[in-house]
Amino acid sequence: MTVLTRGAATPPAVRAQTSIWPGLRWLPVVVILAAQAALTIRLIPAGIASHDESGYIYAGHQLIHELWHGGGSPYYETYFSGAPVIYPVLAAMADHLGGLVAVRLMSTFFMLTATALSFATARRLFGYFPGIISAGLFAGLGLTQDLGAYATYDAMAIMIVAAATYCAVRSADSNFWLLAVPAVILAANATKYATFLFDPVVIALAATQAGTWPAAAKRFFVLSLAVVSVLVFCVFLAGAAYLKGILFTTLARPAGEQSIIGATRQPGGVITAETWDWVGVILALGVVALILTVCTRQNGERTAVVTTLVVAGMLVTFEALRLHSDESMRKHDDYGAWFTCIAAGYSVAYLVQLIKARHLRYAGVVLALGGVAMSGAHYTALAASTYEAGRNSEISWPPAKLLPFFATMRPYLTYPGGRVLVGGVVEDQLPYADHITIPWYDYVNDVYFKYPIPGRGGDASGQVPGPACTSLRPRCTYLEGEQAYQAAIRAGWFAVISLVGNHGIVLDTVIHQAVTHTPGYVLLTRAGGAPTWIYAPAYRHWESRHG
Amino acid sequence: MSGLRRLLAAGAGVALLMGGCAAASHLRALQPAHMPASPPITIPSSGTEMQRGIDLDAYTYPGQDIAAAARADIAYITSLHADAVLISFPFFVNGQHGSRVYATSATPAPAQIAVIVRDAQRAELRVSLRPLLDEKSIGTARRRWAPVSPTVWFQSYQQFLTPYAVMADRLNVPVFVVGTELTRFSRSRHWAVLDAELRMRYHGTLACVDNWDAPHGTGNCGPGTQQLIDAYHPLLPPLTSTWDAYDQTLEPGTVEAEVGIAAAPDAYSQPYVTHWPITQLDVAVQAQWFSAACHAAAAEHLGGIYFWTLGLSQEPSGPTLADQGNWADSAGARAISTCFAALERSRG
Repeated sequence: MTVLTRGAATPPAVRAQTSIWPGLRWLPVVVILAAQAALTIRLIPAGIASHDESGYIYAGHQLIHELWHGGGSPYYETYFSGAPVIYPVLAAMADHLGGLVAVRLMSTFFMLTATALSFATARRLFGYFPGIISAGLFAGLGLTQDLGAYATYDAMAIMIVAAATYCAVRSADSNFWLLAVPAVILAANATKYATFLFDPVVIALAATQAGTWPAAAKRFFVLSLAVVSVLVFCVFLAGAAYLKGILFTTLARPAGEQSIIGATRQPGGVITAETWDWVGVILALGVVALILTVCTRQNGERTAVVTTLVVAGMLVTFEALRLHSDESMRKHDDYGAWFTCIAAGYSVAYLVQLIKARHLRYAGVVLALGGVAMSGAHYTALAASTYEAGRNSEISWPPAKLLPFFATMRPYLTYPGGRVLVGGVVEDQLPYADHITIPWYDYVNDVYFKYPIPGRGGDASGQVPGPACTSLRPRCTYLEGEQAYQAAIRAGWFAVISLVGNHGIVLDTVIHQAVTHTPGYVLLTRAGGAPTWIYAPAYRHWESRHG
Repeated sequence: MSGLRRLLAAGAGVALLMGGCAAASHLRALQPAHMPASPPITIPSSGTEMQRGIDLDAYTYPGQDIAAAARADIAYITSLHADAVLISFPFFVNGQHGSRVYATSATPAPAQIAVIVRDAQRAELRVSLRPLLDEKSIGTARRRWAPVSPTVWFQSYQQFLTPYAVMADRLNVPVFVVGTELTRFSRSRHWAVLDAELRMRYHGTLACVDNWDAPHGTGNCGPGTQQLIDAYHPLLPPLTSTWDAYDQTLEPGTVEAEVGIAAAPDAYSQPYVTHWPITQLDVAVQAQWFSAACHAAAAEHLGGIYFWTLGLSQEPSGPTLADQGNWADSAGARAISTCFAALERSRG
């Protein structure tokens, strides 16, 4: 029984050496995928739509509405961390078919595909058994299960990065695979900008398949140039709003301070401890692979491949340490883990290969598979606490707190033409959970608001051009900033104002003061842990007309 | 052809997958937490429309001149700038282990209550009615007591209440309280039956009052009843901020049906204690307590506040060592009057 093959340059050998159980060779993969599906799907009912999930699905619906009916959009591209026209639109379509569960099942499918690609990629690089170990380790990660049950960009982005990597390791086979690399990298980057981080990894893996060092260097250079050119061209076509969004959310992301995107400064010890908690076993096995490769003086190509895979697993943590923030790390760590699982698979297979006696080697295989199962059990136990939409999540608001608030608000949100200001992190959860269709320009948050000054010709959606000012001056059509909120509230512009979700930013204080000093606004409820007001004259008028 | 076949197979696979996922997404087992039912739209009153109320504890005795006592009480209540009165009338149960409800000579008859209601309405006071289980008859606190036979209790309670509900409906009394501080069985299924019977005869709002330390939420005394609270939460100085903080825990629009305290030095720590072993009264305690409670209720947009209590008497009396909770014609009354007058002015 051979558990390791020579590697990437020998696909026929891979086929030959994995044919030991010709009828059953797919069975372990099917078992792994079935287990991953079951462990992932069990999380789906564990939580209501989170802030991120609601935001993307709501945005997708708004963009589809814009596509059919016009009316502009609130420039999602300036603050979304992926192209809003890709995942959010897809998510909205799935939502239309089967609600939140369908969108989450779509993520399950993406993550299952990523696991299958982990097997396929590891099998191409190191052989069948490392492929099984790699897929098993990746499927067993709590983060993998979390993302498979979470309706955000990440599952789709991981799948596309995995596809790009698979293309890269097959680039020795034909030019088709080589040409596919930049195209698939572009798709991954467009889906989620943070995947830029793994572009060099994918390109480096493609380069290692070139055969010789000069050829590898040449391939690395050419592929890098191609990827950069395609990306720059696409950003140019997409426009300045996209560039702003890419810079704001990814490339020039603010370091860990209290900011509107919720990042807080974290000490390095916390960040490394979190990485260890979530993917520590995988990284440890990856490092073992690296040590084995160096100590056993394997060929340079294999050393380069293993080094790249191990470094990929640490990139997210290095970036988090640079930013002093663990914002989104529980999602991004899984991207890196996908790569390092392949190296981990190699190290486990290598250690089993060292056993010379045939029957002992079988025992070694069983032990290795048992270890994978134990790793899976360990990380699966963590999944409920790291699942961002879950009841036990440290970071999401508990449904017990939010659902009564959403239920209370639902009839008030049906007020025809009523505008809503929600100053907290539940801003997109509210209309999504209540299944209320509110146009984006009637649904305002506490981060940015453009108020059309009465009598100056502006409109709520900002479609009518005109200068926007931070204070009331003669030629201004719109107001922005504090004065926009103050003027709008004094004019009774909003039918509902809620601070539930507690952003805790300065504008929230401004809103609170303006509301409490404006006649007509009455405190409706404190459900959800913060005040919510309604503009009583509007609702009295509505009630009198509709009995 | 082979390429076309592959394309068709892939298309069929994707369609099958989408159909399967769409079907699976409707499985009940996969659905996240269920959204509770939405309450109907209510438009809370603003702080300036808060009910400024006084409790009237209407125990009577044979031969009492109810009309004169009512006139005196209502005149006194209006002199405090109040705009609402909550009239409590006692009923009795045959002992701690009893289940039968009955009236005594201390219970004003519906016609006698009607006299007080009409006087209050003439003075433009908002009137609410409330039956109150006499604690002496059960030998314990109301909140600790439950009938041995709920079926018997609810049947005789309904018989007792019905004439009062009919009178309340005839006089357009807007709120009729069905249960007060009956914490141990406030969620009994019998309440829904009682409410349904009363609603056939009374068309105003049915309400339920419970103590500050009882589990809050909707559903006490049956679904659809307005929830009021007897606010005897222990608070320490500074009273303005502690009352404010306490009221913030209540839903806006909540009515505090009872706010009272004994004129005793340590009463803040146990405002529900009506008799302290003291030799000297401290009326400042009542004044500070009432003032803080009143201002906090307005600041936190509560639906109303009622101060406990005046008796049915021609001469409302202040605190004594025997009746330490009384406050008429004392610093406590002045504090209530000052606060209510300010709220009245702000209403314009």
